[in-house]
Amino acid sequence: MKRTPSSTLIWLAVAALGAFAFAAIALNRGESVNSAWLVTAALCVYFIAYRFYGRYIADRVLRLDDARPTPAVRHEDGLDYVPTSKWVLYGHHFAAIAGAGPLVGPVLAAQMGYLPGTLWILVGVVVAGAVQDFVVLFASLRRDGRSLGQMVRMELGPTAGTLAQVGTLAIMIIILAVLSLVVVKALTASPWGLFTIAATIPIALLMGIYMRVLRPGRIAEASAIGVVLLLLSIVYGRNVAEHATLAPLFTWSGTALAWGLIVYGAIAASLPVWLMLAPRDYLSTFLKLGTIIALALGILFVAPPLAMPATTRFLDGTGPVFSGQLFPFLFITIACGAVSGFHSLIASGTTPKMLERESHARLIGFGGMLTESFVAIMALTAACVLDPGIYFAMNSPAAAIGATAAEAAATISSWGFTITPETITQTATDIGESTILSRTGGAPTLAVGMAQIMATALGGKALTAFWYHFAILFEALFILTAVDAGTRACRFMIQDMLGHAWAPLGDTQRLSSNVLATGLCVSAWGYFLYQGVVDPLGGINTLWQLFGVGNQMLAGIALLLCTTVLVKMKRQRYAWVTLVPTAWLLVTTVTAGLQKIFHTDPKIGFLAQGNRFSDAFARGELLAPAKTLEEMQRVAFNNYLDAAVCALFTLLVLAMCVFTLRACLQALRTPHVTAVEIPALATTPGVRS
Amino acid sequence: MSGSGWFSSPALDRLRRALRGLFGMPDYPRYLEHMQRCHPDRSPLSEREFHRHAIDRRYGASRARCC
Repeated sequence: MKRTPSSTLIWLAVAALGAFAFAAIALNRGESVNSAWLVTAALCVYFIAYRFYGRYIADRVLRLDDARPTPAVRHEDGLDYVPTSKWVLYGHHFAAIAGAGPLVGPVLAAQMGYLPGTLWILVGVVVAGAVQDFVVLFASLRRDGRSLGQMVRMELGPTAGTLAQVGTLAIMIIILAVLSLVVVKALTASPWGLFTIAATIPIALLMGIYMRVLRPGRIAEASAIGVVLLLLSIVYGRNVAEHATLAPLFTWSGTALAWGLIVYGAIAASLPVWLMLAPRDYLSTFLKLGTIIALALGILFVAPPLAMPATTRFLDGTGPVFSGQLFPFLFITIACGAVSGFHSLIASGTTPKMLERESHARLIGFGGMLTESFVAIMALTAACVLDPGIYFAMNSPAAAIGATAAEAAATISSWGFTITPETITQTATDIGESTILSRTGGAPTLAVGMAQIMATALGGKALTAFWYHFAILFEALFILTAVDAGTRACRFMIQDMLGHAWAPLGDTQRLSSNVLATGLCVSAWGYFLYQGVVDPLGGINTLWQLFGVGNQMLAGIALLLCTTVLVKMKRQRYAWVTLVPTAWLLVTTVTAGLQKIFHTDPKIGFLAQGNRFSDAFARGELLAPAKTLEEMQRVAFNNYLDAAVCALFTLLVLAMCVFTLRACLQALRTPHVTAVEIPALATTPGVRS
Repeated sequence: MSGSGWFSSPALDRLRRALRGLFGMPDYPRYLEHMQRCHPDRSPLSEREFHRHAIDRRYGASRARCC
């Protein structure tokens, strides 16, 4: 570690700037704080964490060793295993981990004010998220690029491996459902939005054919064509929305959209990858990176003040966006951005197969996650620059605020966030939509916030509607890519499991087996999606928390694995690095899981809500929104099902604790290193040094 | 061989390769170089086949290995 006087000075300056930014946030209570302070404080935290904590983990805890060949070097084939330049891989890894998660969670958490979310994102990413991504990537590097499931099997035993596999499958299904629900909520009765999203299908097909048949592998050309066509579809979307005969064709109800997505998922996951999935993936990567950079520049140049207070009265758990108190629910609502279990699948997927040297893992694992956290901070900022009245109008379910602008304005003003019905309708007109009420799910709120920032920077009010639909397209595009890729991944997992029961079911070349597994997967997430769409509280309320519990449970499993790996390497002195975040995740996830199941408030507890409906059913009463006794039964059943899923997640993570404890105790009793690593060899010939 | 037909300068070529890497697209010239270096006896895939393989394997079920 070089420590020159000038580098010491620079780091002191970064620390001072960060401290100053935090002071500006802390001392400015009561007045509005400029978002530039939030962003500055966050950046300083990231730089310091990367330089000092990231380095400590790399040098002391993991002892990264460039003399050990990485899987990419050992198996270099120019195709799957390719040693890649560290900045390119950093970009690729970041694009793979950044999805809808860091955009949605912080927006929902903004109901408690900007401060709780910001603090959790910053502390969480340094202590938990970046550590998890980094250590999992390291473990996979030393195990020939093995996946999380395989590593759990190797280090914790076959039963633990199977449990991790079941957990991963369950969380995939919930993720697919909740992401689809975000799309449904954003596109319901929005002809402009639906038209642009629908247009991505023929555009992707065109790009796919272009890259396969006309000009193989020319992704830059195909993506350029795709982006131009996409922008045209946003521009002409307005004409469609204003057209007398076309508009009704693209105005769909929530349930119709849900069915549309289910059918889309089934078809898209069955088409050859080159036709739709791959081109759409390029397009969405393009938009994702471009939009995130544009948003960062927008926030930097416009420096909008935060309209949301630092904390709101909804810290007490009575908020309309999600129910439950700050502890534990903030920590499962903001998953990605602080710590996301899902990343452990990517850090043990393609990335370790492309890493050129071990020492690059710090930038890619630790640094990549810090960057994702920055996206979460920007999403939180975009939500908090909105008038809080608008924020609550968009994010509260109709059951809480009513269905007209007048009712909504009255209710929200009574909560202490003054807003007039005119402001609500004007905002809808500005973004070119018929209404903004109860557009839950985070995506539309972020889109309005982004549109405000971008329109201030470029184009003024006239372009607000364009930017809004651009932002919706950007989010929907990568959600649809995730639905497509996720359904496929889920299908392979199901086939893998079914194959153990009866071999032909696991044959991925057999049409009947493919159709069966795709069908099972789509019906599973489709069921939760449909249930979310017809849910009385708007669905996001329930599903997002279920997703949060699942995702944090997966993070818990990944961190338990990381701890085991450290102990087996005889580095137990440093095990606190992964044990501290593990402990925090276990406490929050298990508390949240138990509250979601057993809480007596039906808004929080699944069993309480299920009992409320089944008791009313027994008395022959109807409770809104059910209109028939049959629907009453269904609502009750769905709540019991959600409770069961939550129980599954909670039990899984507890079982993994037992396996980890056993493995760690055994490793501690053994005098030598027991980690199953690929032994260090001299670098193989034929590889650049 | 340079990536595509429009321009070719070493800097642009590097940029093009970096962008492809960002999208997770493997690099054909690099693959050819690898084949020449390590498997001079085998005939490499054509560019068209290479890209087909790359896409199928990236999203496919079985991630089989070469060497």
